[in-house]
Amino acid sequence: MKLEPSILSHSLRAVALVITLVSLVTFATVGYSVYAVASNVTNTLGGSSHTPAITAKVVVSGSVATAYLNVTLTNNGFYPIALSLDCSPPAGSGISCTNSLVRIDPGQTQTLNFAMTVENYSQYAPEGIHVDGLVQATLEPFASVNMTVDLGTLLTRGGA
Amino acid sequence: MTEEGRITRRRRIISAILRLIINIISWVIIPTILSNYISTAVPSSSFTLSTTLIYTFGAIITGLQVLSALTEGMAVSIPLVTGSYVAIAYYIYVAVDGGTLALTAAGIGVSLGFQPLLYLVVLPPLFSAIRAPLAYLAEEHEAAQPASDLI
Repeated sequence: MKLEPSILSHSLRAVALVITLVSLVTFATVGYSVYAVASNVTNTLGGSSHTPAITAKVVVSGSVATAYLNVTLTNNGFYPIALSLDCSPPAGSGISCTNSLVRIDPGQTQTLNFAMTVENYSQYAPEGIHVDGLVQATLEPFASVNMTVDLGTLLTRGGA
Repeated sequence: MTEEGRITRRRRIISAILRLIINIISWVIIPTILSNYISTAVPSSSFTLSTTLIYTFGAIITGLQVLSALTEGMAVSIPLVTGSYVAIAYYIYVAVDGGTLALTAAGIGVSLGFQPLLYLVVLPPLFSAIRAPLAYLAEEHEAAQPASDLI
């Protein structure tokens, strides 16, 4: 006698199939989104695009120097991207930052505007400013990348 | 004829050999190649897939899968199947350090978090671990029902 699979067996098989399909679709779309954004950034940095992705400049006014960093990004993927740049200057250093955060929905272009102000700029050696910066890029809601960088380099490279 | 009786010894052996080959490739050879590649390409990576971990979990998973194939259709195969899927889920979780990878390159610290994606990866084996005993119990329940002519 051949046993017919029960409704429970059919249901379990169907749920397993759904889980597998959801996983495959999610990984495919996340992979494509990462590829699309990465290739967009690469093309822009490589000069293939007319819009520069990253611009940095330093404005010195008297004893105050302000470093500006603008990051323009187009989201060609399927999921929203959150991009933030924070800094944590040493206490009493006279350095302050305007921390910034942008959320880029699919198909949109946004610019992240960041500014770092240094009081008594002339007191510092040209490469003597070190400010820890945290760059956070999140592919909502699946993955995130945190990068710790030295924002003091903005004042040397950006001003060059 | 019972489910056990319909599965021949030849089928069990062929299934066991296939599972042995597939599992060794999946859980020993590929992770070893991947680990060697990452440790060479990104030496500062926190991706620590040691050979001990690879061979331990490779042996556990392969052994359980082969034994479950050899006992297919018997009640004893259910804990073997469940155990192998739990081991697979745990192996994946440990291999990627719970969905967090960190590395340092050129003075820049990079940390990558992908916990939701990891949950999607371990969900199918964990569901399979639950599905195996439930499906067996469902079939046993039907088999245990009295024949309709006896009611």
